[in-house]
Amino acid sequence: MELLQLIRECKQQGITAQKYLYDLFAVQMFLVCRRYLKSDAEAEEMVQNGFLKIFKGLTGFSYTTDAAFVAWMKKIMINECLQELRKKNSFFMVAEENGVETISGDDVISKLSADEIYRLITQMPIGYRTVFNLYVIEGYSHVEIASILNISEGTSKSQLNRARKILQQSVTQNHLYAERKAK
Amino acid sequence: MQSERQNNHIQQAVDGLQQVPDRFVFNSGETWSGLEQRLPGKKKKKTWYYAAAAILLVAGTVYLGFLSNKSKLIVNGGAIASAALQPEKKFAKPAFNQKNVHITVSASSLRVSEKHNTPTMAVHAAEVKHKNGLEIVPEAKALTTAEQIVVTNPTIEQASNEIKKIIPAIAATKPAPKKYKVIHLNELLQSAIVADQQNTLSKSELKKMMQYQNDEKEIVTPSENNSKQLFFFKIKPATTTNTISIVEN
Repeated sequence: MELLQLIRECKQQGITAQKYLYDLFAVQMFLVCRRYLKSDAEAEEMVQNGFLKIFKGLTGFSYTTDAAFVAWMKKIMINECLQELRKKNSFFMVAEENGVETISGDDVISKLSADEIYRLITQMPIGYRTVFNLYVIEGYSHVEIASILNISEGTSKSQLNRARKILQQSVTQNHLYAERKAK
Repeated sequence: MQSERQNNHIQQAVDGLQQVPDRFVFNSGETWSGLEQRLPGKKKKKTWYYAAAAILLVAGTVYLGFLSNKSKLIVNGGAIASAALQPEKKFAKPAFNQKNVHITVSASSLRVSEKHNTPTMAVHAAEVKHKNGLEIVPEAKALTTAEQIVVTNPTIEQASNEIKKIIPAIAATKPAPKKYKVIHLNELLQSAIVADQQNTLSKSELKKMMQYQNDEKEIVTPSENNSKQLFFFKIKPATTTNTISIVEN
């Protein structure tokens, strides 16, 4: 079934179409939510809330392309996650006004698989992870992140630097561990 | 430049994930069932339907119980007997065998339907007894309605037997309508039980009892009329204006 047709039926609150749409994107949306939240249960709850908002908001949504629709759904999911994090005061940002974006020399990350990268991201602390997700994966600028998270631009940059360092450290550790194991 | 390449690699890797990695668990079915309950299209009409059906059922049961209580006949000022208990006992033997028993039947205790409440009914009953040499009190002859039927019979049992013999003959010669043969004899036999108890009561007690029966405005209709009332929700009040006479031995 075409996505456009599916959206039309979901707009008419057809339960079968809603289930079909859910089945199509549930895993993808769960992976988005799980990147931001600590546990699987929290991520499932956000998937539920997010889809509820998607089904309700479909009436006001005008379809252009499949990619735009998926991006719209992702945005809803991310907003739900951020709202949840705000509720629980999970952000702990160290204010570093003069943070400068640093670049790591080794391109170790490119050698990792998708599963490994995903796992490493979810192992990071919430504050770093949020900025990293928003900047690297979602593609927001530091200015946008600052307004979304209600922090300064410098704090956003410093959080990203720390996130990169943590990621690199864990990659190096894993890499060394794997090399030792191979020997 | 290197940073951008790194970012692109991470972005593509994460976006390209189609399955949940090993260490993560996503219970899709449970999440959907939770979501389904919260969807706005999901209505709880069925619950209301069941509740309404249950209320109607209870109300119907109460109404039927109320109707069945109304159909009970109060006999002899205390003992309660259901009128519908003996609907088809046509020519049953009387329960007593006394000579010179006077039977007084009050019209309020007679279950006469509107259809059968005609003068020919009482006359017909009197004629039947007269043909068989039964002694009939003059009062009964004079009555043309179901107000009062007084029958004096030396041996009720004998009369009953006689009637049993004659009724088929009459039925053969004269295609009498059903209304004569079923209701009156049955009622006469039922009322005979009442009359039997009269011997043990004084005149004043009997008067009180009859007065009590007359005060009851509602007439007890046969079972077929009860069913009519049930369907049409009409209860016809008693329209008889009867007089009661008590004959002493």
